[in-house]
Amino acid sequence: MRAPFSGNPARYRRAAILISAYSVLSVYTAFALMKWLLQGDTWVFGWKPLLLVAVLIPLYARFCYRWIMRTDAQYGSGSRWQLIPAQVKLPEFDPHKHKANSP
Amino acid sequence: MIDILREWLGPWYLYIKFVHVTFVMVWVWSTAHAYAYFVVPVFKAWRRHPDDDAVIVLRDWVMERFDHGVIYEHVAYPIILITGPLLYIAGGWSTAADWLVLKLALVVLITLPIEVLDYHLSHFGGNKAKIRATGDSEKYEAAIHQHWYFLLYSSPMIMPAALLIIFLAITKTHF
Repeated sequence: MRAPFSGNPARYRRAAILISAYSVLSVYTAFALMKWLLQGDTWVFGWKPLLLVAVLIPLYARFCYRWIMRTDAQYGSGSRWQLIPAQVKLPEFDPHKHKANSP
Repeated sequence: MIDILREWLGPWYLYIKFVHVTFVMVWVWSTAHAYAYFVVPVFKAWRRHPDDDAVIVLRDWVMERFDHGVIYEHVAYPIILITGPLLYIAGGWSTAADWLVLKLALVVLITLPIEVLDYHLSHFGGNKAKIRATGDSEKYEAAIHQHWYFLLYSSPMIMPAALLIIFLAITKTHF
């Protein structure tokens, strides 16, 4: 009996928020600190960059959530793919055979 | 020290750039086709039909081939990490270049942790073919689930980040 996959929309929502917060905040913080400490730039702490960060976090979280949900077939594209029964032999890479044949 | 390196590497700038850009393209695009047209459709089929044995056989086969196929990407990435700093030195760049600082932050904070995890999942402890060889089916299934979580969570991060990195490198935007 195989264990069912534990992914679900609530988990994906939490993950999307974390991914967005980490990505935007860490990149902004690193960029701002490098510009401030190494170049003496203070514009990076102005209201415009901070507003951009504040707007970007929820927008990017929404983008990530929708991306994950679509990729995981929870909704959206993928419905055109059909399951057509077929019996095939799948090729498998055999590193031992490859070694044995090499000079 | 930096000045000596700059003087020595300076004449080679465009050659290093050629190597860097070529391997960035390999890193970004080498798995795109396999991901979009093999991994994702098969995993979507599995998520919609989780108990279909034929789909599971195909899922496992695709995942193992993908573990193998990302070798191109994972050979390219260290070459990018080596040639990037060489370009920084040879080109006389500094942190005054906004595009470069943002690109550096994206590479270190977004791509590097994802690639480290990807190396582990594809070639080392998480390699599905190696786990299959042990005969531990529960561990194999867990490894497939783990890799699917990784692809679900990393793809919306790495794809926009990679495109932004290329955009910044080409346009050299100043804020």
